[in-house]
Amino acid sequence: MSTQSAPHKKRKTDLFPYLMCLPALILFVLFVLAPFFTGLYTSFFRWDGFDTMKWVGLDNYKFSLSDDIFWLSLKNTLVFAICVTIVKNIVALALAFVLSKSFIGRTVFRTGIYLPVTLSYIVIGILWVWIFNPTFGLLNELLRLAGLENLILGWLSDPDIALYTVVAVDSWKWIGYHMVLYLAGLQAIPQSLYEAADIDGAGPLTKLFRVTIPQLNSTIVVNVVMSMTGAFVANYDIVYIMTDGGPFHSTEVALTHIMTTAYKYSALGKANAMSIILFAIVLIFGFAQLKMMARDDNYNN
Amino acid sequence: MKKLLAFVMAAAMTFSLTACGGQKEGSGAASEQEKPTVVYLAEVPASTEEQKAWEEVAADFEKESGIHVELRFQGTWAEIPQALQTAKMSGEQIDLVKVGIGTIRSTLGPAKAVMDMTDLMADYTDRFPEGVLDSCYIGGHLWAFPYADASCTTCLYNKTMFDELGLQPPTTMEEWVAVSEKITAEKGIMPMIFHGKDGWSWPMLYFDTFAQTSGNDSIAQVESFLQGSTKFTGDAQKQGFVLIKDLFDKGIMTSASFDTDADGMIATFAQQKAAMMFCGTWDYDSVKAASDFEVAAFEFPLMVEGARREHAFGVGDGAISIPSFADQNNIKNSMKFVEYLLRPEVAHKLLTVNTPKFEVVKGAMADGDTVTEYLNQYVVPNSVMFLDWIWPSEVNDAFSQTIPAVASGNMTPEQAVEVVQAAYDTAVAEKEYTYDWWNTWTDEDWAKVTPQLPE
Repeated sequence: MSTQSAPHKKRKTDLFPYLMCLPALILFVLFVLAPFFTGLYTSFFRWDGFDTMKWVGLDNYKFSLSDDIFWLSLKNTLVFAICVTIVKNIVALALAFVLSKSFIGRTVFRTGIYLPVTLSYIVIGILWVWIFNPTFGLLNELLRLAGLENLILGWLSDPDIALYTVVAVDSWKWIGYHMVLYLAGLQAIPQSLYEAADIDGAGPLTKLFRVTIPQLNSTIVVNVVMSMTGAFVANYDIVYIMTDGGPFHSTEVALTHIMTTAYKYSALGKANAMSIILFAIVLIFGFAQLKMMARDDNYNN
Repeated sequence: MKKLLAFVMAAAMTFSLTACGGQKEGSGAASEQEKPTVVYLAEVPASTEEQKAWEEVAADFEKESGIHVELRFQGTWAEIPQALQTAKMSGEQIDLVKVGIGTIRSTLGPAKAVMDMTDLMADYTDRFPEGVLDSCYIGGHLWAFPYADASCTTCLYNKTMFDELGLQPPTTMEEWVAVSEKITAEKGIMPMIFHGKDGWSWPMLYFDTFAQTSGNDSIAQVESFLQGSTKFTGDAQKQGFVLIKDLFDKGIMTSASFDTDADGMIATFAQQKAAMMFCGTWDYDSVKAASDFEVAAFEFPLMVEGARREHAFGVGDGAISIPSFADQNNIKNSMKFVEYLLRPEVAHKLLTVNTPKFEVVKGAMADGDTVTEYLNQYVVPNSVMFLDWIWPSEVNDAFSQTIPAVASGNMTPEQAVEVVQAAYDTAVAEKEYTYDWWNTWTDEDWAKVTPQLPE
């Protein structure tokens, strides 16, 4: 009897972790897997969201790939993602360096820089649209007061500038978040490494490139992957509120074009085909990034 | 014990998740325990007064009829089709929906998303002033009834400033340029402001310029284009773009208009940083409230010799319809509420919260001011339907993008009309778009949008 009951008990014990995962699994199936496979399925149909779906095979993919605005939006998405990733990480790392030192008012600065993270995109979008307003905007007024009229630009109306204006605002919102991650990474670096570097006669730059950055590698990987994938798939709100993809599609990102196609043009099948294409691109990008940046020894400690 | 507790908590969470959603179909119909309910979907009201008025009307109706009205206000006017789509997919109950008649024509109608209300409304057509329901008939069928103020494009100006400078509102392009020059010289401000940051607003300018360049034949020419009979690449079409560019080239509008949204436009005008504005009549109340000077209106000036000034005008930007997926057993209750809404005293209460410029439902008109009188006297008699109520969304978007591109010199009018034509061609190729979709429907299609009232 005892020999039979032992495996039975073992089986019961093994079931427990799965049961614990069940709520999360249900959420994942309901809100990630089911929508994904529904989207994949409907991408093979012409469907306006109301009437009967009509099978069109790969037509939606053909239409998507021959859609100039979709290609433009993919290019803008890539530019947005790269710019945002660079700006966020460089500025956040620099701020983390400064704010890791001890000085009066450090907490105020840390709080102030983190504050935009807690604000919604709607608040931020409206705030910055007013700041960029050509008649009342603070920015142009400041430039005028400083005698820099030549620098007054159509921040959101010039197709050569508008995308970078949105990049600046999105970076401003998230810099505090990445700064906190870098601060945590900096504080985790053992002081003994700097002491050893001092003994070896290393200067500040050598310590930065030989001690700090290598030790921060895993934090940098996390920050870069998060900001890059985030910039790919979480740029809808800020673009929609600030420019709605204009002027002349110069700030059109894949998500705004997908939403327009789905709900304004009532072409859900084509919009889903675009979403699948975007998903594939983000997947490849994320995988390549992890492959290139992650090293096994990043996580050994 | 810990494991048991953890298991119970996990099970409770799983149960609560599975209990999410899942409304019973036909929940609007009467049951023994519950009151029958009519769900009304509309955009969030413009003011708390308007919301309060709707709540009072719903409560009064419930007292009279025993039918509960659930007011579901969400999002903006433009987001209602999306909300309706989501409601259909998730099986939510929606019995009445407020949506633009232009959206029905271009999107919801061909998608069979709303019901043919011709028979349902037969007894109530006399509740509307003559001609008001016309724009809600598409293909000879009534798809909705207007229940919001009508609107038109208009030019507003600072009459106090004009009087001070000895200026008269312009009637021709030459006068418009002269007036603008004087305003800039004397006051050092921009002559006219427009909310070009809102992409959807640019076609409003084109409605008025194309009305003139088409020889006052804009609707017929657009219909011909949308039926595939003609291309949208002719001289009149290009000239419509050129005239808008002229507004900027000749100093009537400045580059500030590209970066200014509706609130910014009103603030610019009210703070006298611009002497004129091009807008829709829906902006007038806010402008009037924010301005401490006299505001007056003038017609869009004549820009083409031999043409007549015509203005875009429409009834039904806010129209109430019945979704085709509404519970058929509840339509009688919905129509009882519709009848209640169309009573003059109820319509007056709801539609005069924001001062109406035009009488849409009999009895729902407030005392007008000089601007309202002017609009009714001069603008309405010389008006054509908003073209974006006819265009499919793809074409409308093409206009929204190309007009500012031409106005700012980033695109030529020749390129712009090609983009518009390409947008139409794409809609035809990818969605099998047809302008007169009602003529292509089968009996089976009509059955989907025809109310089947229970005996």
